[in-house]
Order: sequence, then structure tokens, then C-alpha cells
Amino acid sequence: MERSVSRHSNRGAFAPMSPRWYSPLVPSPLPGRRLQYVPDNPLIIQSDRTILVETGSPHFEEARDALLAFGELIKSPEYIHTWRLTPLSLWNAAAAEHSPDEVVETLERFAKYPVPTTVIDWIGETMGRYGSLRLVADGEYLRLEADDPTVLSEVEHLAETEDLLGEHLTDHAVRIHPRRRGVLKQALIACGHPVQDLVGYEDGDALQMSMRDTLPDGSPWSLRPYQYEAVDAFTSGPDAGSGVIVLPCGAGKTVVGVASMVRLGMRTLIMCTGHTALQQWKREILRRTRLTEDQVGEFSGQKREIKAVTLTTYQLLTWRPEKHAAPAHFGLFHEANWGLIIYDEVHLLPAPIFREAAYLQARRRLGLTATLVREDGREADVFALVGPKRYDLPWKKLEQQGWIATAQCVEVRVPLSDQDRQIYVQSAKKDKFVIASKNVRKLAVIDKLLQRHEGASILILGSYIDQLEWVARRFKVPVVTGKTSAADRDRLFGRFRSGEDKVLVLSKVGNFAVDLPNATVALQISGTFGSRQEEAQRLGRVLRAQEGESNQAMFYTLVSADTREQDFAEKRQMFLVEQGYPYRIERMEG
Amino acid sequence: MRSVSVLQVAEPRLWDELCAMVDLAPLLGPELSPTQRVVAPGVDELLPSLKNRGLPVLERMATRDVAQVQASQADLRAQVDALPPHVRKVLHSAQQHALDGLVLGMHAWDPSEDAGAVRHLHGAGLIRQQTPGAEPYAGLYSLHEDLPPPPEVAYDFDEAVMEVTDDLSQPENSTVSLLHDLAALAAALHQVSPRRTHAGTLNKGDARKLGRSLGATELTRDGNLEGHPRWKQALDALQALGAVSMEPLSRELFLDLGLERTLAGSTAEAVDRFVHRLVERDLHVVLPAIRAALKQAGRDGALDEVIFLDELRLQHRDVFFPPWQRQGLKVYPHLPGEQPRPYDENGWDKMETRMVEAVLRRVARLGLIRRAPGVFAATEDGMIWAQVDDVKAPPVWVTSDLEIIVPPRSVTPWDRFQLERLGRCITRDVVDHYQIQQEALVKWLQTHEVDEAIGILRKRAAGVPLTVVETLTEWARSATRVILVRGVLLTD
Repeated sequence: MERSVSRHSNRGAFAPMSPRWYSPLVPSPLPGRRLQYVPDNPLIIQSDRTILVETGSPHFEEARDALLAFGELIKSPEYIHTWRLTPLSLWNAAAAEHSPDEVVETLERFAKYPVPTTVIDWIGETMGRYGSLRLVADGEYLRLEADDPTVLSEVEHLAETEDLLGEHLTDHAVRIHPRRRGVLKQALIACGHPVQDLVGYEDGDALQMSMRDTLPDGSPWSLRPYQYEAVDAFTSGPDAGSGVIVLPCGAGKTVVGVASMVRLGMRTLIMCTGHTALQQWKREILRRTRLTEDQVGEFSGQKREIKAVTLTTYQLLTWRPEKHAAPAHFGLFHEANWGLIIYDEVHLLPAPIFREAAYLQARRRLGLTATLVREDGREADVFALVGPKRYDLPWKKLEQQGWIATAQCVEVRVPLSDQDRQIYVQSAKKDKFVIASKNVRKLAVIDKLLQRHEGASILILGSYIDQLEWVARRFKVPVVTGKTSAADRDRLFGRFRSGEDKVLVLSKVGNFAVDLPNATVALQISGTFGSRQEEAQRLGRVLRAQEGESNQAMFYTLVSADTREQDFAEKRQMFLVEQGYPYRIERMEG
Repeated sequence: MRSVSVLQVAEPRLWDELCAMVDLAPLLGPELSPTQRVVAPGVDELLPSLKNRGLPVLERMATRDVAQVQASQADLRAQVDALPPHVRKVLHSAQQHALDGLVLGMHAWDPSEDAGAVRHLHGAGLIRQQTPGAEPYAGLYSLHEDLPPPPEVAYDFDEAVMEVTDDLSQPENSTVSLLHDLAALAAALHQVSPRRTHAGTLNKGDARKLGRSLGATELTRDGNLEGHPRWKQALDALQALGAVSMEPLSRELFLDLGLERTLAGSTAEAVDRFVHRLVERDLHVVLPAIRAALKQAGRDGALDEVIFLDELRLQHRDVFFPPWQRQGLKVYPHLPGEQPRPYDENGWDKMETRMVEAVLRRVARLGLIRRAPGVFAATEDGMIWAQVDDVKAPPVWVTSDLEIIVPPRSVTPWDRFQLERLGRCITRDVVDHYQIQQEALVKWLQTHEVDEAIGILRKRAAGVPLTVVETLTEWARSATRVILVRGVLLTD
């Protein structure tokens, strides 16, 4: 190879690996860089900034852990995982004090082929932007500073900042009103200028609290090592106190949130996705800390308590008495001197809460999520208003360490009966999906699967209430739907958790933040299969690690063969395999 | 014998389903088996309706059975082995001179001396005269398509090997990359069938579709294939190979899948076939000698042109022309009325030397050799062509989410053609990245079986996830529930 390079040296140090690259008609993707092929290395860095990671490489785990600091995992199917470098992922790295040189050095260390120079240049330029603008305290005002006056001048000339900047102090600084702290950061990041916020936080009212060593049933308990690391990452460091912790479903995000709250020891407002999640948070706080019931309040549809630790839901906070009215309960943010605000499932944070979050920049903020990817693409707002990513851990690592269950996904293809098939082929397109979803032969398959997993805690998940009620009647098992009262839900979830009921039928109400940690088998009998979130959340129901057991979770999806339902199921298959779950297809006659 | 269309269903109960969906019953003819029935031509009109109702019909042309082909090849091998030695020698000479199965008799044998052998071959059906009425035994002949390949010719150019000189030219083109590009474009053409405008350019909308299929962002944006030298060159090459034709009414370009014959096998074999087709018909016969010389020179060597020519003359004087015996003298092949030229050293210098020179120029233009006065050496492509190195290709990866990742030099042009036909290219970058697609597989199933697709993936990939195999099998099962096979020959 060396010889071949020198032989062609008068063409420049080109890369002679791919014949395509020395065609005069095709510009080399690696201009000016010599190609070396290191087969054992796992990374292939493409010039579009995606990074392909070979899982079979001997350096895979090392490279994956290194990538966590500055990359964004897109998908992790068998053999090759795909990561991406984005401005946000690099700014997250910069916020964690990684330099561009470190990032490039890591890429080059693990690269199979040379890193395209365009990517190297882009990393330097992008990461260089973080810290080029800083917000600092300046008496009762704030100051936006820049080392390079041209950067400040550019910002001053942006239409987006027109009403947000105050008095021009020097060529390097502009005065900012504290009320505009969040809005300015939001506006600037949208223009590609992430602001390093060094203003600090107001300490809320102090609250003495500590973690328990044992759970109420007397069993010893402590944080898992990675949970300690996550709490440390959030609470220590120069600009600690705001940011996002990313942990997979079943890894104990709630516990990390509770421990962070205890570590900071301040009055805390916790925002959850719904009533069931709120109850779960409350239960965890009371189980894991020495706080008492009268210190933990619930600001919900049922109760309006404001206590040292207050739990509420996004839904209640954004409720408006009429269409164009302001949200009725935003006052809660200012009702008490909160020292910490926790945003659970921060990737679901509704837009009105974002707006309000912009005015809460003086408070410490913690976002918890399984993914930084938002369906609405507002990841940059999370970065600007909640904070940069402070901790992330690949779920495969947790699975290997036994902290979450190993999941096996099985798609069971169930043929329609001859009679249903005749109805199906003659039906309008819009009805076909429903006919396929409600295939009566699924009932017999459910029966077989319940027998196959006899003794296990099984969730039956679906989207059609009549179908779910029918299944519940047929197998004489309880069902929870949107119609079930909150009290009945809590009771039925309690019975399932305690093992009194081994099977529970659950509609879409079970998609989010329902903690049924003992569930090891899920049967998805109907669904749109289109939403990635729905799939992830449903699968998350069975990912809690089971102590002393095989720690193997089964996630079945029943699909009518040769129907539109099967076409939809392919989307979910893609999503699940992209997440790295093993997926197999079985055919079962009903 | 008559040609009919046959409708084939995966299971007999589907006949009822089909008849419930469309008015098929009146078109159904004789039953060939419980799952196969002859159908009247009117069935074509029902196909869109069936597709809309969720039961698409896969259309296929009847093909020659593989077992039939193999049996024919075995028969011919035995027949060739049984030929008298002189007749066999004439046949081999014809095969060495042949291009695309056609050979000019006067280039391969002496029409006078070898007339008996030619008659023998003709009588045995191994060759067939293509230009009736031409000078006896001198005109164009076609060779039987199932003939076994001729034995390899031995060359030794050790004397011509020398050290590489500093003044060797740089390659201007890359045949290997061109082959990969034309394979990619051919696969895209197969999927898109673009139309040609009356101005001779490709329809912009169709060119954009080609761009999407090729993962060519710029082409997708501007729809101007002729403005992208890379793809224009690939299209030109396809046309030069005669692999693309235009349907005169619709002006749609369609692909002759005979292209697979050019691309088949290893990269070296594909380059070899490609070069043979791009060199003039009467010159290509010397290519094996050049290839052998390059192999002998290896990665670090070059060849002295004068010694190469001399060695070639000494070892294979008849490389281009067989000597004709006329009045006890050896002469060059000639047409009636032409003055015969003596078949001597002077003739070699005036004829063969110039012909070799012309071939070397062409091969250099194709980027296979670098030249300096009196010297030539292999380029990187030339080394692939001459099989100088036996380098293990890096593996391809097939991921469980139906993507294929192809690193540089990991596949042959033939593999690329097949892989690209299975889906669309997402990016062409440091590595190429493909997405396997259901529609593409269905198109593939018009000419191949799903097992062949899985076989291709298995051959090149370190491992093929079970999910991929299951998905492809399931797509194929669903696409082949109803098949319409056209051109089935039935004996009444």
C-alpha cells in the first residue's frame, strides 16, 4: 500500500483503496488525506457526519462508550450501529468540557478509514461556537459576553434578538434583563449560537431529606452504580444544576430524579406525564427517602396541595379554562421558592411548558428521558431551556450488567378465517385494518401464549376497547382502559404488582409511565404500530429486571397474516430492530 | 407448440379469492395443475384491479430451466471431448477469437485447409453460419451458447519484465469504478425505466427518480443526468455495451438483463469481459497475452514493450491470424482478389506489432495500464484485471433493519448490480449504504427467486440476520401468491 501511494504521489496524497476514488470524474470524499484501512477498528465516519459502528470489532465497546460523549445514537440493529454528529451532540460534549481535538482524536483512534477532512473541520467550527457567547451575572442584571467582538456584533444584528438585548456595554458585552435569560438562549441556539450560561441559580428553600437504606419491607437498598454516576453528573461540576439525564426504560430514572433531589436538598417541583406517573413518583419518593406523606404534595385533578415536594402533571399545568385563555395553573411555578424543577420524560415536554421554562432559568432544572429525540424536533429547546445532556448510558450495557431485562420480540402471524378473509378482501381499504386487528383467531393464539407463559406476569396490550373487553371476559382477567377510574386503576395495578393477578389487559392508558415492574411478558394484540414512542413505551413495560429469574422479557405482537396489519407491523419491526432487539416471526394457526 | 400465459397461485383456495375480486372465471383456460391454469390474454386488463384490491400479480417471462442448461452443457462437453484433435483445435481457435459468441471464420481458421473441420463443427451443430452466401468458411459464424470454455493459452513473458520507470503516465480513467457505476445505474434503470426526451436527454422527473435510487443527491435535485459526468459516463458505457434499449413508442429506456453476462463473476472477470467488448473485434484476441504479461510483472514490475512483442511472436505467432497455406507458402488471411501478404517477420512488424500497439493505447485509455516510451505497467485497476494480488475483500454488512453497508472493494460489479437491484442507495460515501426495499425485491422476483437474493447477501456478508431472511422470504411469499408467467411453451 505504501509503495502504491508513493507511486501516485504526483496526484496528491490520495486514498488508493477504492478504485472509484481515482477516477478523474469522481472527486475523492477524502481530499488530501491518505487512506489507511484498519480492519479491526469499528468506526466508519461518513462525510455526511453519520458514524457507522461495527459491533463485531474488538474495540466496539470502547468506541461506543467514547461516542456517548459527543454522538447521538440513531439506531442499533445487529452488526452495525448508526450514530450521528449533530451541532447539539457536539455542544453537549463541549458543555461537558470535551475539546474538538479530543473528539477528532477519538474518531481517528477508532476509525477504519480516515476521517473525512470536511468532518474534522466541521467539528472544530461547531464546537468552537459553544462558549463563544457566555451569560454571566452583572449585579441585578446579566451580561452577554463574547471574546470575539465580531460574534457579538453578529448577534446584535440578528432579527431574532432585536427585543432581547439591552444596553451595549463594550465591544465584548451587552446587558441582558434577567427575565430574558431563557428566551435569549432559545433564540440564539435557534440561530446556531449556543450560549454558555454561567449565571448560576437561586437557591430555593432548603429541605432536609435523606435516602433510606432499606425499603419499607425491610430489604436493603442503595443506588446502582450508574445511578450514582448520573446523580453526580447532574449535581457536580462548574455549571451543574441544569441538564438532562438519559437512561433507558426500566433503568430507574425516577430513582435518579429522587436521589438528585435529595442531594440538592431544596424544595422541588416535579412535573410528570400523567396521573399514574405522578402516583408512581410519589410512591418512589416515600419508599426511597425519609420524607413523610405530609411533605409530599399532589397538585392534580384530585388535590391542589403545595408542599415541600410537589408533584404535578403536564396536562394539568397546561390546562386552559377556554381556548384562548392563559394556562390556569402556571402560577404554581411561582407559588413557592422552588430550588429544583424536575421534568419527567422531558422529550414529551409540551410547548406551553417550554415557554414557561424560559422564565425559570434561575431555578435548577433536571430533565429525565429515555431519548433526546423529540417527535417535534425541538431538541435544541431542551438544550437551551432545560440544559445540556449530563449523563447517558447505552441500554445494551445495562442489559449486559443485568440491570434491565433482555427482551425478545416475536411477531406472531395469525391467518384470518376463510369467512373473515372473504369479508376482508371485499372491504374498503379503511376498514381492512380494523378487520385485521380484531381477527377472532387471535383469541386462540392468546390462549396458547398464556399457556406457554403460565405463571409469568403478563400484560395484554391493545388499542380497541371492545376487543380488550372481549379478551378480558374470555379469559376472566381484569382490564384497565381510559374508562377505568383512577382508584380502580391503582387497585388493579396494585393487584398485578403484588402477583395477585397474573394477567392484566391494558389499553393505551398503559403506554406511559405505568410502573408494573413484575411484568415479563407482553402480548400486543392490536395497535397502529406506527408510533415509535408507543412501541418503545409498550416494550418498556416488560424491561424491568427480575431478580433471581432469567431476566428474559418476551414481547409478542399478534398480526393478521397477509393483511394491511402486516404492512403496518413491518414499521414496528424496523423500529424494534433498529433499537437492537432480537426479532423473530412465528406463524400460528388460531 | 404454442406460447401461452399461465396464471399460477400459491394455494388452490386463492382461485376463489381471485374470482370474488374480479371477473376472472371466463378467462380461465385448461388446468395444468391445481395451482396453474392457462389464461386468456384479457387477463392483463384485470391486473390493475387485483393490485388495487390488495392482491398484486407478479408478472414473469418463462425462462430456460437451469437443469436443462446444465444438461446441454454436459452433452456439449462430451461432444467436444470426442472431436478429432484437429477439429477440436479449430473449435478452440474459433472460441478464442469469438466475441459475444460470434467469430469471423477467416480470423480463426484457414478456409481452405480447415474446411473439413469447419464442416464437421457445422454438422455437429457447434457452430452456425451467420452470413449465408459469404465466401465459403470465411464469413461470420455463431458458436453454440452452451459450449465449454476453451483451454487457457500459456504465455511466458518473464524476459520482458523490468523495473518500473519514473516516466510512466498516470491513468485517466478507472474501468473498475466505471463498472461499479454502470452496475449501479443499470440497477436504477431497471427499477425506474426512465423516458428519453426528443432532445435525447433523460426526462428530468425520471432522472430525479434515478438520483433517488442511486443515492445521488445532486442528480435528485437537478434531474440532469447528462450534467453529471459520473452518471453520464455510466449511461454511455451501458449504451456502448448494448445493455440499454429504448422502446420507440413510449421512449422508455429498458435494461437488457444480458448485462449480467458481462458483469458476472469476479471483478477481474468482469473487467476482462468489459475490455474485450470495448476493444475492436479484430484486436481483442491479444488481451489475454497482455493480461498474462501484467500478472507476471506483478505489483512492482513493468514490461519492456519490444521484448513483450518479440516473446509474443515467438510463442504465439498466430495470436491474431492463422496462417493460410497458399501454394506452399504461409500467407495472411485475405479477401478474394487481394494480393496475399507473406506471413513472415516483416509482416509481424507491419501488422501484428501495430495491432498490439493499438490495443495497448486502448487499454491505457481504459485505465488498466500506464505507459512510457517502450514500457507499460499495470495500474491499480490493471492489477485487479491481471489478478496480481489475491487480496481478501472486506466483508459487507447486512443489518437487521434491512440495510446493506458496502465498504470499498468489498464487492464485485456483479454483486453491486444485484445488491442495488434489491433496494436503493442511501449514501455513496466512504462506504456505500443501501436500504433493501419491498418494491425492489418484487421487481427482482420477476427474473429471480428470493433464495438467490439471500444467497448473494450470504456470500458477501459476515452474517445475515434472521430477521432479514424472514422479511425477504415473507415479502417474496406475499408477492408470489399469484404469478402470471408469459411465453410458456405448451405442446398440444
